[in-house]
Order: sequence, then structure tokens, then C-alpha cells
Amino acid sequence: MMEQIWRLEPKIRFRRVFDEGVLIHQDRAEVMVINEVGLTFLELCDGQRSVAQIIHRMKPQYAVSENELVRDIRSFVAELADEGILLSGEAVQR
Amino acid sequence: MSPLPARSATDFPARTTAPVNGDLCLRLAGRACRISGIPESWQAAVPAKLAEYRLPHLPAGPSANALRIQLADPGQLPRPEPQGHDLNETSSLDFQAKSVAYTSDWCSGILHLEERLGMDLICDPQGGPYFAGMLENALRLITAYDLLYRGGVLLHSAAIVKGGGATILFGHSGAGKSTASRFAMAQGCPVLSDDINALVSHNGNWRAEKLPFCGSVGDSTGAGLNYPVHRLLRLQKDRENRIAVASPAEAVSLLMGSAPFVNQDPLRRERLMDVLQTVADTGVVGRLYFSKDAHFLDLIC
Repeated sequence: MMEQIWRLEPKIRFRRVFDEGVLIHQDRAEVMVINEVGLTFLELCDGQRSVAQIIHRMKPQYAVSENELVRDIRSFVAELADEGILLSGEAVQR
Repeated sequence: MSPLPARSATDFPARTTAPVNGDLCLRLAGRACRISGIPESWQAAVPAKLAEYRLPHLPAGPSANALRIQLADPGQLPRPEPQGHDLNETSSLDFQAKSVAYTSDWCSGILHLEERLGMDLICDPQGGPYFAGMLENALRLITAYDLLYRGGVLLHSAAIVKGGGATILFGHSGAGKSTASRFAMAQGCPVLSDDINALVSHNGNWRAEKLPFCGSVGDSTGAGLNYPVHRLLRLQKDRENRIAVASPAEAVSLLMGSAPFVNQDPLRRERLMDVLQTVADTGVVGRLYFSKDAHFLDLIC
């Protein structure tokens, strides 16, 4: 998963509301609140960067260990992928 | 043969601002709405509660919305299922850039999203006994979009007046809006509506305004009254009554679920989000954990 590139399902919109995010599935009219870590991940999830590259960018912003950040992001990505909110693209070759 | 001479604007009769015979002109959430084309034999089906909202004259200028009713040709519209059901549950919407197509039992229509909203509603000639429901649903749709374009929102909610302001209890059907309204009325607190209310911004201050749409409990106030909003609380059943504050993002998501019609519209959702975010910014949105007894009234000011 760490080398995978993810992109947002085109029907999804999200916006920052103070330090959280509101994510909406346009077709299903479903709304989800995401925390600041998830929001920052989505803001960096541009279809170009891998999960590892995004975490590398995020790490200086958070006073947590890299392991903790990786665990949180993996769980977040898995949940959003299950919901069809994140779509997997190609993996970045090292 | 010579062509007909072009008519100048002065050849046409002046547009009247007074309703013609049979037209209704209502004031809904601060905006006039003219309803024309009601068949004479259907006039008796117009809900009596609309009389309170009636305007004697159409305001001058392009400030009124319009609902134009026409009868369909026989067989033009599909007939509804024979068994009784809720009109709201059988309506469907198709969202376009400048219009919303609406289909429900006995009628079909298009709401034109222009500066002044105009809806053409085609009704089955046999639908007279159901005209009250058709009319109310069309007015709800018009009001939802009218409020959205004016920076407000129609909210599926009960509005309870206490302490000089309104506490808006919102949530889906069965959440407890009508139950809470009954308790409030029994204790002398007026209820604007137990089903749907307008949330209107007046110079940055949010007010709840009464509309002629109510549920099983009804209402206990006069037409078009509005009150400053004290709180907006999403109803949630629980074993004890308590209030929890919602974060702004949570507030937007909670309110989104109770903004009928417009919350399904992907083309206007950003606009709705903008409006809901301004509501959320006030910090008055939360959850009411409700044990379905009157003690919740002690928690609201």
C-alpha cells in the first residue's frame, strides 16, 4: 500500500471546515467528517504522490512517531478505499 | 399576403400586480410566490392554512416566485400505485444546470432556477383529490431553492419557541420532532412547525421562520412569524436527555442530512455547503440526546 498512488473518486468533494474536513459523495449524497490528519492526506492526495511520499510530506507537521502516522494513514486509506472514496492507481516504482 | 404587423409593447395589456381571479399570492419565508392556473374545481382543495400567508397584491418588481399549474392531457402522466403512500417518498428529482425536473404522484414539473424562481407543474386531471399534497410539495421545493439562493436553508425540523427564541430540533422522520413538539406545546411553548422550517439570515443573524408546512402535531403560532435561533440540535434517541456541542465540520454534516431537496442536488451542493458553513460558524449546532420525555425542555433556553 505504501507505494500505491491513490486518487479521489471524481464524485467526491471535500472541504476544510476549521481543523476538520467534510467529505461528500455527490451521487449518494452521503457526508463524512474527517479529522485533520485525514484531511491533510486528502489535500496531498493528487494522483501523483504515493502514500509513502505523502506521509513524508506530512510528518514534520505532526508531533507523532512515523510509525503512528503510518498506522493511522493506512487505516484511513483502507477505510476510504472500502467505501469507494479512494481509487487505487499505479504503484510508484522505487 | 402581407405579414401581420409587428405589435409594439404598448399594444399588450399592462401586467397586473393584483392576482387574477383564482390566483393565489403567498408570502413564504419573506418572499412572494404567485400560484396561477388552479382549476376552479380544485380551489376547494387548497389547504386552509395557506390563507394566513395570502397576500392581497403581488409586490412590484421582479421579486416574486411563480408556480404555474396546468392540467395534462389524459394519459400524459403515469398513474400512481393504487395503495396509499407518502407523496414525499415517491417523488424524484433530476438536477440540471438551470432547472430541476420534479416527478411525483399525479404531477410532474420543472423548476426554473432563474433570478425569480418559476415552476411549471403539470397535473393529472384526475388528481384533484390529491391537489393539497401536490401543491404543498411543489411549494416546499420552490421554498428550498429560494432559500438556498438567498443564503438560507429549509430544514426538516421542529422549531420550539422558548425564552424569546427558537430552538430547532432537526433530524429524519422518526427522530422525535413531533414527540418533542407535543411536549413543548403541552408546556405552553409555541411550535412554529413540527416538520419543516425556514432558516433565514438577517444581517448575519439566523432566524427561524414559520412556513405553512407542518406534520402530525401542527403548529401553534401565527403565519410567517420568525424568531432568533438559539440553537440547532440534531435529535438522537437516548436513555437520558443531554446536549452535546458539534464541531463545525460535524455541524455541516448533520445539517446537510436535514436540508430536503437541495441536499440531493450535486450541482448546488457547494452553495449549500457555503450556507451550512455560515450556520456552523455560529457555534450553536449540536446534538440533543432525547429520551422522549418533557425534561429536554429544561435544557433549552
